[in-house]
Amino acid sequence: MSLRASFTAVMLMLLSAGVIFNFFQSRLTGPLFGFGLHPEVLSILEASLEDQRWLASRDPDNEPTYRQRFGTTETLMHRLQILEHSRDDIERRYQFILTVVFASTALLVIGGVMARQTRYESRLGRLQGALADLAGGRTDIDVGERRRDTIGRIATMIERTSRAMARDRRRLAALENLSAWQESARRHAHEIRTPLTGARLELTRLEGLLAGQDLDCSDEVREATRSVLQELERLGRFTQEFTSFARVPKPVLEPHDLGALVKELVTTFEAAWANLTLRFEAQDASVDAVVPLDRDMVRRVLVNLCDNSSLALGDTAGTVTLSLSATPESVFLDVADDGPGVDESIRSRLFEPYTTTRSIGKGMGLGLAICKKILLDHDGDLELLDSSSAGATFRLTFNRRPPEDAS
Amino acid sequence: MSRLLEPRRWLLLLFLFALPIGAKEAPRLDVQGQHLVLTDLPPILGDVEVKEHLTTGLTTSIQFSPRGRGQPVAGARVEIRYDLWDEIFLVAAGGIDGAVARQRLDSFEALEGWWKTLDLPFLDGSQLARPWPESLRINVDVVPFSQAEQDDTQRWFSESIDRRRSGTDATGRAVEKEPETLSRTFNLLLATSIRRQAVTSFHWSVPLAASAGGTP
Repeated sequence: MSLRASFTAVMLMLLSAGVIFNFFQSRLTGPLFGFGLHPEVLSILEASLEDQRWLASRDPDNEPTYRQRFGTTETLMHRLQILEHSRDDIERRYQFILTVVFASTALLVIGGVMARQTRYESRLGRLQGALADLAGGRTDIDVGERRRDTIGRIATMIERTSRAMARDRRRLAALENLSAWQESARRHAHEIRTPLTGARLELTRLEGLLAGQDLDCSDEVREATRSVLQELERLGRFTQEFTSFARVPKPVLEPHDLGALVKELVTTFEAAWANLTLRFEAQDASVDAVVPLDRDMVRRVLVNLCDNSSLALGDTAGTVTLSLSATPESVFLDVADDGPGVDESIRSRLFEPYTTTRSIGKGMGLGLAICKKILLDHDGDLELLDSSSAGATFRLTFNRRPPEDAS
Repeated sequence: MSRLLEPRRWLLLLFLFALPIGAKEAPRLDVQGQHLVLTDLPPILGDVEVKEHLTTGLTTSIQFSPRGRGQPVAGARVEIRYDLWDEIFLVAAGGIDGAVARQRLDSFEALEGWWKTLDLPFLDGSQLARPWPESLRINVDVVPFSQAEQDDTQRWFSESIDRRRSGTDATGRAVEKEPETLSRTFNLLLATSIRRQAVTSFHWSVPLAASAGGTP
């Protein structure tokens, strides 16, 4: 309702209230005074005075008593006479007081309503601005409304929508980036695999040709052939890794209790890493951790994270703690280790392919990229929540609602 | 419009009607010593409006004061109370000299007789600038009750409407939580609407010509 309409409505209400109030008031004060100051009352008091005097004349012994009663009645009568004399003034004053009280109340009500309406309009204006920002694509909207009324709830929705938009954009960008990398990996794997297969065949044929020959250099040739074969094997493994990254399968989502899955993993992989102790922080019974997920792929992510922690710890023993938390929309699984943390230089591109601090030949840095891809395909996310010299914490986010394309 | 309703005719009638009051009913101001004394007071006690109040038992005050601006300090007052038990009039008359004369009069006729002979020092002659004016305008207000009676009734009225003191009824309990200051302010505002006001007034123009040459 607009300010003007509100003002008119309030004025009409007050006017109606005023008319009703005045009607009943005028019907109340006058009769009440009339009742108290009825002429009969004075007549009776006068008669009472006469009676006291008459009684005193008949019973002189008790004259002081009658006189005292006379005095009391006389005082009352005089007071009533004075009231009767001032009756109009009292009524006027009474009406005046009530009018002032009513007017003050009305002013307060009008002031209150106007102030409330002004505040309401101002809040609506903020809401309008926030909606315009949202339509303009802004993703860090803070309307500044913390009340739980309708406007507050709408503001919260706008803020949530903007946050969801931001998350979707990040997710989309990451997916596009990973897709580009996947395509590149797939092409490289394809380009390498054909000559690699040819080279292996040729080398095997060469080994066959040399098998029946007794050459002076046969030992050296066999050694060289074995070395080349080893390098080709290594190249094959890399190509396989390329292929794995390029062909990360789509997750098959089904509702699973993430808590139960983690518990099972901790039990199964209890002794998988010699330098690592796995710990699952007891889940709060009230946390509902049932989310759509692909058990095998999530397990693969968790194993990868534990692998990374184990490698980062080296010869030192450490602990990986897995803990669950939830909001109405999402479930979070935090994986925290007490290792040396993620190197500062790679934090910003940690989930990009080929990002690694390991030496050449010890890994291609595709693990976290694959993990990120898996979580994004779950309509969730994988983030580095915290990293310091006391350890690193990764957060796996799962949405309770399954992604539309996956379902 | 009929001729009877013409404004000029009405004004003339009003003038003729009002003329005797100012012209005939006026006291004298005599020089007695240092003061100008009101004597030969018109018989206003017999006026219907005045007489009606004289026998109520309340103290009727008749206050004499100069009328108009720039008048010297002057005044006098007569208080009449009818004692309902003894059926006598108790009167007190006080003038500008501060002296108060009290009387007990056993009938209204006696009261009227006393009124006729009443001398009220009204004005200190030395306060009056010379040459004296030809006449002095005097206002007489008849007030139906005294200041003490007014105060008593105000107090009684205030206590009567303050249920918390006088009653333990449901209404009294219901208003117990009412802010005390607000309630008292409301009572005070209502009680102070009981005020002494003249029920009737007389306006006299008293000639000073006879005493103009005198030296108080």
